[in-house]
Amino acid sequence: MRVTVDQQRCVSSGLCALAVGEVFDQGEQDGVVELLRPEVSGELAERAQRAARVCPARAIAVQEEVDA
Amino acid sequence: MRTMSRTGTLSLDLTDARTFLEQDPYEYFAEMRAHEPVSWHEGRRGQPGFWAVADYANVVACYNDPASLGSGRGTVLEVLLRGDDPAGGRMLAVTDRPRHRELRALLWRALSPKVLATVAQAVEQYTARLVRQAAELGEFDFAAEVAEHVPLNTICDLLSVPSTDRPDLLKWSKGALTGADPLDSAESRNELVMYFMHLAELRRAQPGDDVVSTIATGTVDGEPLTLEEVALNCYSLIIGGDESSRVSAVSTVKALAEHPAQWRALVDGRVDLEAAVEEALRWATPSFHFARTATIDHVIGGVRIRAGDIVSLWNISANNDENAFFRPRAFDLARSPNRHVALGHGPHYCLGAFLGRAELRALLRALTGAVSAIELRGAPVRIESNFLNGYSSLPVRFTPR
Repeated sequence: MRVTVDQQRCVSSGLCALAVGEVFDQGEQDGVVELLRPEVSGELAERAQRAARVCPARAIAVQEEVDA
Repeated sequence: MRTMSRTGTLSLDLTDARTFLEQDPYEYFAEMRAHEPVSWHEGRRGQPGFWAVADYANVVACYNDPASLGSGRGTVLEVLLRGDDPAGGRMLAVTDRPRHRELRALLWRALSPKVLATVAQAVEQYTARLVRQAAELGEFDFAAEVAEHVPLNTICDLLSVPSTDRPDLLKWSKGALTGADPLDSAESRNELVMYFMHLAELRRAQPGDDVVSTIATGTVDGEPLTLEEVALNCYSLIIGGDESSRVSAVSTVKALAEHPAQWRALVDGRVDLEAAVEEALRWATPSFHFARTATIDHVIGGVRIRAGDIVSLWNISANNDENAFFRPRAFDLARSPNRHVALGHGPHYCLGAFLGRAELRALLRALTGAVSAIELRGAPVRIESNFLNGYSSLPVRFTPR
């Protein structure tokens, strides 16, 4: 699955980085989300989906890959 | 206290602190969600009227729409109804974009996970010690003996406040949100702000590792904050970091005393600690509401809102919305998912959330580590407020392990 983040919406709550540190990190200057892995599958995808659901700014999207 | 709203349905006076003392708000808000989730409340005593949003979906949508619903005039209903918040545009919670983003970044650096990791450890140890000591007291007031100490001392540690000054800070912090009358509240707020202006001056001259130094030496839009702005933001960290954590801890212990099966499940390790922390937050919902001011004409839940209208968002109702939570009036430490709004939502989401969660986690661990039973030993005393949801006194007995 493909993960995208909207850094404009992000409010630095850190919930995603806490939940799935393999996929999300927080920038040093302002805590805004940094996407470490845009492609996830299996258990990581499930956890990334949960992170997307708890994000209080709705800044994370996890979607099925669509063939070009 | 009961009056007719514009549409004729019976309504409670949401501006009167006694409403929340004397009535069970859950039933009232359930009615509101069912019949009129976005309702107008006429002004009283010369104050303007305002909207009240009660359902989860609209409350979350409102928190996520800063372009239509601004915070700059204030975010506490009582303050908004009296006129603009004097800290508007300078204190983080009452600042709108674009300034909001950079100010939040500055305060975030002062409270970043790296900074808080050591603090979280200290919180665990301090809480464990206080709970162990309290368990030996027989009957005691959990609010006074435990809840009052951890959040305040933690925030004061972060802000490098000397121990000799902390009793005053506790007094002012209590007075600021729940003073006997508006003059008391204003006086307490002023004392806090003046205290931090003085501290900010000292730290600006000789910076340390603490939060006051970080804010006092930081910049927003390339400019340093004024001493008053530094002080206002420290004040908001005290208010946000002390009161809400304190009342959440008390509400949690009350809930555990009243739900022995949940307490057993926690003690036996049958519930995930993180889930338990979230349910404690949802159940406690330390702020009854937050408010916004409409910046443009727009629509909320099919209702037309005018620019300038005050819109109040009722967390206490959203967190008990049957459409968002299965059996919301069940205290279920294993509840999952649990997307409550006790910490808000959207751009003003609680900046201290990591610390707040750490404090509740420490409380649950300390209780299960040192206590085998929690008993209520007298009537809890409710805080008289339409904003702060909790108890000032909780007589309990802890049976030590």
